[in-house]
Amino acid sequence: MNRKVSNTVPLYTQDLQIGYQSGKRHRTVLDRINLSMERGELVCLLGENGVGKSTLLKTISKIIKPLSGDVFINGKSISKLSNIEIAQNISLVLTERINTGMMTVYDLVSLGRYPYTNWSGKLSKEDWKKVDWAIDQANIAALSNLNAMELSDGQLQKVMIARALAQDGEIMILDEPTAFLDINNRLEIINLLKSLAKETNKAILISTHELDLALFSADKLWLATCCLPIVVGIPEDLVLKNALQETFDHDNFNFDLQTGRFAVKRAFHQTIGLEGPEPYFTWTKHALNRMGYAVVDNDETMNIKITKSGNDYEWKVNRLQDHLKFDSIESLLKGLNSVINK
Amino acid sequence: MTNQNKSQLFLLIGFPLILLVLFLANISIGSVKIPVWKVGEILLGMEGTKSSWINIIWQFRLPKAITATLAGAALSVSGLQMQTLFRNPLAGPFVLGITSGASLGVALLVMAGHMVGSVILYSGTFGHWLTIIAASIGSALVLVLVVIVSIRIKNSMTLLIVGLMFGSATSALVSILQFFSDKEQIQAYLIWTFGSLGGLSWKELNAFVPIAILGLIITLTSIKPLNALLLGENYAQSMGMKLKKTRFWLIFSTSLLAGGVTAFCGPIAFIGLAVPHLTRLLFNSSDHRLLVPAVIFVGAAIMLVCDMVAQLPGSEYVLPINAITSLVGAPVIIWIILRKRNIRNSFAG
Repeated sequence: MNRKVSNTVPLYTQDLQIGYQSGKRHRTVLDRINLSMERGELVCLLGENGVGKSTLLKTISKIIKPLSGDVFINGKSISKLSNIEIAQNISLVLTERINTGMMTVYDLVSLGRYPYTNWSGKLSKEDWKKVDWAIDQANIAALSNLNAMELSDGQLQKVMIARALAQDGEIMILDEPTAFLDINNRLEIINLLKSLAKETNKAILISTHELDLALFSADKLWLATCCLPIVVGIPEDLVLKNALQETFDHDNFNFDLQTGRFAVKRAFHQTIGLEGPEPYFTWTKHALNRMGYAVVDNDETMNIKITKSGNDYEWKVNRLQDHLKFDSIESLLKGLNSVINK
Repeated sequence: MTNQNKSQLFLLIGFPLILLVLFLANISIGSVKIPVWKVGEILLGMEGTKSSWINIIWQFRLPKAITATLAGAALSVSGLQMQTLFRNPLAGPFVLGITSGASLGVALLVMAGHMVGSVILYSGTFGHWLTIIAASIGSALVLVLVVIVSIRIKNSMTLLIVGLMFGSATSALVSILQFFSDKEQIQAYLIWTFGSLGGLSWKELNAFVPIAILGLIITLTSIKPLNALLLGENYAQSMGMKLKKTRFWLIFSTSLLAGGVTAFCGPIAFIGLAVPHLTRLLFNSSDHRLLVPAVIFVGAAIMLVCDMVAQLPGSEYVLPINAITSLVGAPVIIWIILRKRNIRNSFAG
């Protein structure tokens, strides 16, 4: 059991039960939660939408109260910490869209110093240094004089990460930090978080439902499944233990152990033989699968061979007596349709 | 210091000067023509001018200018607070039902006057104080209800809706009272709703000035949480801001400021809603460390100008201030929006 955790662990939970309480009724979302985080570690809380990821993050950061059990930050129960003390230890990046009006990136980041400044919010030299440091760490120095509302989603997310860094807790929690971002920005944000965990030695917890990002970046996964205890481990162990398949159990998808991705389960209605050089082979197979053909090495009735002719490639189809040639996959698929419907 | 900061600083230094000029101009204008240099002499306490002029300046125009300055500042600051607290550009000092509560108080007073068959209750000095007390009790009652609700409710949007509902309910009660009132009663009530800056003597200012200044001081101590609220309630709380405490103080100071103005001057529209927007655009900032003092100056300046327009310089008429604030202000705001086209961006919410 990880109950006997020493005080150096920045965050751990003890028999935590989370959910929502209204009056005397309460609804448990997740139960028996015993988790811990280490410094310098990027943890991905992975689970389907609605499983309770946000509820867990909110409970850890004392936005909502646990139904039972407790959360400990540096060995102290959060129920005994003031709002300011919590803020000095945990900083958040939320999913909600902000609208700060006319505020520069620099001012937005410096709001992160809130738990350290006096009543007027005036920054000390130390505070300025921390703000500069956070801006530097998040690589947004070039943006610092711009209005935060004029940034792209990806840039704004980096600014919000810088604000959380300026808040300077040992723990950083990000709720779906890659939602709404395109693939480049998603990778950039994840890489940024990964390097921040290493360089700043903070414990970074992110929730996501994007399996591929979590698999390729997290030091540790917390797998949340409805009504079951959270499964913890490094990504590779969990894959081999089939834990991912169970978490993301779905009728229409299969987890592919080779690629680490989920693939649509397909019902093939026909087999087809295929041979040829890469990458033409892979993408032809991809297209054939999509059209409902199962690809085999050699088929009795129909075979496709990809060969080079001059500078281009061509696809030769042999079906019983028919011999056809195509110059692209698109024409190949059209040809196959007409051949089969004949 | 960037260029932007410099221009902000310039505006912040420039505005008190503009305010001073407007203040003196305001005192110089009225139905009785008094030369500007004489006004200066009278204010400096020099002898040798007509005693009627001294009387007009000291007993009427100076209190009125002070009232206008404070009322403009108070309404604008409470509007700014409500817009930031509720993250809503259409919020103003009266969204929580303060005016409606005050109206109900005054309407009840007028109705009571009707029942004892006299208009003494709402005319003369005695009646004026009664009106102030009735308006204060009315708005205070609504605000106590809102504060009680705010302690129980987590979500500020819910609070906003509850405030609007209180407002609608009290307005409905006022309509019913009006239905059963005589012409004179309705007229007396209507005149109160026109608003008036000139009704305050030094005695009333002795009560109004401390209330307004206390409200402004509470706002000045709330600058840091106001800035945090720009990121939304959740972020503000995650940085250690105590939402319920902050909300209580913001509502409390708004009730002092807007409730005080409504009690002493009647419901004055537009200023509280528009001045914060105007100031954000002028100063190109959402930072409350700059906005709060700036809104105080701009609000006071605009109210002084509106009061001068209401005097209809050169004539003996004084128009209802409530009509002038909207008439002068609305075109200004529309012009600014059309020129800058970014009120949506300028607003934080």
